[in-house]
Amino acid sequence: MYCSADFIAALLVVMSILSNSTAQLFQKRAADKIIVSGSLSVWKNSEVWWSLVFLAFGFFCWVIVLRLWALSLAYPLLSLSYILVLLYSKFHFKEKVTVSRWIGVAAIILGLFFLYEGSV
Amino acid sequence: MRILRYAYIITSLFLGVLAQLLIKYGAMNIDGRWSFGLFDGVLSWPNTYAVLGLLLGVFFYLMAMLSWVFALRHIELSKAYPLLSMSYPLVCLGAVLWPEIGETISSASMKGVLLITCGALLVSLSPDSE
Repeated sequence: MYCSADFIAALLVVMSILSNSTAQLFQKRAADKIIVSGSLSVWKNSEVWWSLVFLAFGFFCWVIVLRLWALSLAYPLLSLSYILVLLYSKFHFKEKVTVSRWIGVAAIILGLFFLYEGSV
Repeated sequence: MRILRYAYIITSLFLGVLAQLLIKYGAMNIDGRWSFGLFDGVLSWPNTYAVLGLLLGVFFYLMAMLSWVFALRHIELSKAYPLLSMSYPLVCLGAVLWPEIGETISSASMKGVLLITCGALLVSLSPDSE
């Protein structure tokens, strides 16, 4: 099967964003665990290790992305993680997400559209 | 000192931006050949400067995270987080201005980056209650 470099880069950007956001999710869970258990021994906290695993994997994907795409195109794509983190906040942590944050998400999506327009 | 509390955030911001630029420099040059010594051109060994760039980039990235944690001990997240949205225009500016990277950016893309920055600012600036 033939895959273009752009397709691979796009896939790796998505993987990088997914694992970075998941790392954030585990960091939050680690912090919550510390509050509940009262134990400050960070390295015995499995959630901390999981966050590091996802952070490292996201970084590995990111380096390959930067081999294939311009930094000024790839880096702004990382703002997609704002959307993902907001969805995690709403559905995983059951937090209340305010309207102005969703307006911010809309601006990011519009910005990504312009970015795509400017790159082709 | 009020200004010192912001020093951690600004340090974190600039370390993060510098990390991205160094990682980009490393990633785009990594498969060069070992440029000195007996095995010149025989062994395909990663370019020394590229490896240094990558390692320094990772180091700055970790320092940026550390600086972020220190920053959060001094000011609230609601004041610190919005400043990080400035990384979008700064990284793009760096990629264009740093001659080794030498990227160009179209006006449409620039508009996109500006909108993304405003969006990120709005997401991180908003108060928790309506």
